[in-house]
Amino acid sequence: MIQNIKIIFSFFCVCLFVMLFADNLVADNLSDKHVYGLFSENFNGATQEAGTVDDNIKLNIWANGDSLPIVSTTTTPASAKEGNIYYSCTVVGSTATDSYSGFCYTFITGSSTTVTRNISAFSMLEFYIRPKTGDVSAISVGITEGPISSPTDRTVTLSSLGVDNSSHAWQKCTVDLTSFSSADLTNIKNCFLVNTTKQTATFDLDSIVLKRSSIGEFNVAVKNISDNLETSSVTWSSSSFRNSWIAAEQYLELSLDILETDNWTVRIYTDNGDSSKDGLVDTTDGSNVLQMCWRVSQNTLPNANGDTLLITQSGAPNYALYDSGKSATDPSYYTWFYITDIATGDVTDYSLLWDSRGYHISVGGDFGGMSNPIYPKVYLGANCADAIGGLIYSANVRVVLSYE
Amino acid sequence: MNKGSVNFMKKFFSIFGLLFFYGFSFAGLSVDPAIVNVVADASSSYEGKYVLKNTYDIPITVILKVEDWNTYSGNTNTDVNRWLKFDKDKYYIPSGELIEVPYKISLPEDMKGSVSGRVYFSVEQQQGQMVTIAISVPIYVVVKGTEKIDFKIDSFDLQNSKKGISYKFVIKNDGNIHFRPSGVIEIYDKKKKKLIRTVFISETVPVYAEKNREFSGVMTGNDIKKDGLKKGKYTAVLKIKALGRDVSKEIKFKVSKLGEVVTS
Repeated sequence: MIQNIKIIFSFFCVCLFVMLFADNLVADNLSDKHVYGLFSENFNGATQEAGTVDDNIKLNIWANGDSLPIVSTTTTPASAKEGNIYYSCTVVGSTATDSYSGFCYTFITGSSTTVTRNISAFSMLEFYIRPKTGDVSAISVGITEGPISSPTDRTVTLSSLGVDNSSHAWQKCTVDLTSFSSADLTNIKNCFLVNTTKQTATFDLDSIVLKRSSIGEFNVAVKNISDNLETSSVTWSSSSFRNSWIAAEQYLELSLDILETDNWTVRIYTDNGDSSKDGLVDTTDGSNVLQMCWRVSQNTLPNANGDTLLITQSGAPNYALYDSGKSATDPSYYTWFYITDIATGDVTDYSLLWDSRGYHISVGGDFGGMSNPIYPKVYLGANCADAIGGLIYSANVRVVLSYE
Repeated sequence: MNKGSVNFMKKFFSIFGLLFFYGFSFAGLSVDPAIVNVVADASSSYEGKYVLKNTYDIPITVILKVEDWNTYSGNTNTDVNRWLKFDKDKYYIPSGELIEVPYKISLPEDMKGSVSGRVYFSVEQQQGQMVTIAISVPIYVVVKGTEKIDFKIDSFDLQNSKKGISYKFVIKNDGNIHFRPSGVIEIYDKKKKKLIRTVFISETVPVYAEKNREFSGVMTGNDIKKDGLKKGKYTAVLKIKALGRDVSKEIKFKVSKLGEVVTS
């Protein structure tokens, strides 16, 4: 019997290996996502020189006569369009004949082998540009079609996309990929291309994505902390009884694949029918409420960074909630937010989980941009100190994607 | 089968279960469009539709709820149910399918300015579930010919912050429709003869009818660094544009030797 099981086990181990290996070989984000991030801190997509086989891109830069463009990342959250990081770009043209320069994202496999990919499911290339100095109007952007041995650029100028060079604000650009009528989108080498010819300018780029014309999804999955498997309910262990702030045994994993407007937010509330019922409410007469809290992270918790999931409450005056071991006085470490009931409305940012700035890290107003895979995890806590034996507590927790 | 074998099989199925669940992590609900803007005459009607898609591997029921949201109070009855109608409040969607949810906007004769509401599409909870997801989208309706455009900059201030000089201003909308302002902050020398810096405000968030909205940001990077202005006296002019109308507000401020700002 044992021998048979060992044989079966060996067989399934092989299957497991093949499935996991195959998962890394076949397209995932490129074929799955409606919003495919090329340079995005909120949407899953490609990763530079580190993605899975079909989600691997490389930044290439070139020049002939013109100076080699400088394309560097700048981390200034207040100045980024999305998340914390944006590209600062400098191009310097020359008067030499046939001078040019440019940069692009090229699909690669392995460490640097150029390949072509099928992006025909996507109809739009969207990005934000912020002109700074010089004139960006004649700079062209687009994609490069294969074959690799004889590629063809498909571009439009920034001025044709409506970019106002005199405005130094972030401006949204949408390249209609379907307008490249003769382009074979099943055979694309460069999924984002910037070409310059003799232009001198500085500008910033951010939030570069490919989008399908169909709309994507928003979802929240409940998962066990213990094994990361999906489940249907959120529970607190029996040892929580009569203890103060305790984290639930499950977390919520968010999945966002929609980018219809920039004014989107994801918020979390209880929906228990009254602003005072901002927590777990006893199901007998609703008079006993155990206050709840939440925190969101890109990572699973607890982890080695000191995110303990051991919720601690500071004293007066702010009674802040933070992870045990972190600062009791610095609001940037107050990662836990008291939950509010939807009846209270959005009078504070205590319901705000995620917006274009990234996930809401702390009460101090910090937001975190993310990198693939982008599935923010929401942890729930409750103050069970006043729990009454024999009562059953429940809450309607609502996670809402909203637009303005 | 002995106990060891059973435990072994449990571990085995746990591994298999992991693979099984992995494939279902991208399902969800979608709603299109995200924002509805309608301009219509009083006594007229408008018909539109939402497209809902269920990408879960199971059928779902979507519960629809509408609510008043930042609507102009000048109308005698602002109840969203008075002007926005859906056929049903529950929609069954088979797995992997999409449905159309029609709606009708009917503007009574006495309606003026604007009305706005919010439509919640939430996935009905299964027994024992505690968490609900919802997608909430706004509908803005402007009653053509009755628009009152009236807004001003209520306050404008520059402050020191950890991240540099920051700006904060409040726009007060005394009109009866919402708008999405944009603008600039221009920094001049003391005598307002020389333009030194320009800070562009590219906000796209709305200021609702009869409401105030605060806008703030740090003048960094392309704009103003903390040490970007020398010691001296300056004038800052905030210019806001919306709905074809411009408003502005001016303040004087000093920058100290340490690069800190003092408004007067």
